[in-house]
Amino acid sequence: MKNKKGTDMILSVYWFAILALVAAGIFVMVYLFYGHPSDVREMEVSILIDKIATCFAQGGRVLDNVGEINSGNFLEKCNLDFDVEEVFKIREGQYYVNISFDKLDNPENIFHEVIEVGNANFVSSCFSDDVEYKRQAICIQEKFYALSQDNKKIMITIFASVRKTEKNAK
Amino acid sequence: MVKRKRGTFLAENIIFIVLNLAFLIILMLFLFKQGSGAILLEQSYAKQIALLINSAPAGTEIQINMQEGFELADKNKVNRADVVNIYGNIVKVKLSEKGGYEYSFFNDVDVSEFPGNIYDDSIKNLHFIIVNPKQEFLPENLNEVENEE
Repeated sequence: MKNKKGTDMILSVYWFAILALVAAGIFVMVYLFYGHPSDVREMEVSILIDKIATCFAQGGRVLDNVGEINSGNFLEKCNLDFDVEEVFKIREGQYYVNISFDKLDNPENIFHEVIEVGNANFVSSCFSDDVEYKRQAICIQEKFYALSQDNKKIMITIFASVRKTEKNAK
Repeated sequence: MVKRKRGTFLAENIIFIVLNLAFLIILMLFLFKQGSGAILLEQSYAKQIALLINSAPAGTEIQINMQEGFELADKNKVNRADVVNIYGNIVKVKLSEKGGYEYSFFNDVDVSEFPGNIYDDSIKNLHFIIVNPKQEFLPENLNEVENEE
């Protein structure tokens, strides 16, 4: 006669081993899910572009003081502060903005010099096909039209980029 | 044929079921705790506040419902006035003694914040954020202060 008690005990060991594996799998999945920071950079870049746009044009018209704004005083004139918290390796290099102004009726004439502010070193990652490089920064470009003071059609192109990888991507 | 005693059979099964239930309960508790952890909430609130400040023009008053955060802060013995701190252009949210999450905003404004009155049920779970235009400290003002002293 075979004693089934020994067999039952062995099966229980296997059963709890399987439970332990399942638990470990769930713990890993939860850690990966909740350990991943939420990425708000896309929203941040969109808000940045909207803020820059209102700095140069409102109501479809280019503002009078646009001629006074250049790359050197852009942050001050548009009430922006690109300084970030200490965790980032490059404190002044987490943002990049490029603004260009094109005259639609005569593209050869420059309406205003190109304004370029921030760290352009990580911008190339936005155009890379490598998934890992794409997470380095979020880049968005938007264009809109406005009329100058002398009723010339101007196309304003705003390219903005936010890095902040340490707090938005893992 | 070995007859198995009924008492032994039942006890073994009960123990087996109890252990399985214990495992499931511990697992569910772990999952719920992870979802409402201080670290996750701190990050969520800090980013939310930073984005709100970014999109707010000067002169805006923002009210955020932080009921879950305040409850956690009370549980961790953190003063409600210390939950949200804004210095310069950095928002810091702290829901535990040794915790804290910072996130910066790019809107160059002066921001003041304070929690709702804890004795007023309508606003006790709200946190108020006032976005003011940047105050420039002019040299003329400094001279006036020195003369007064």
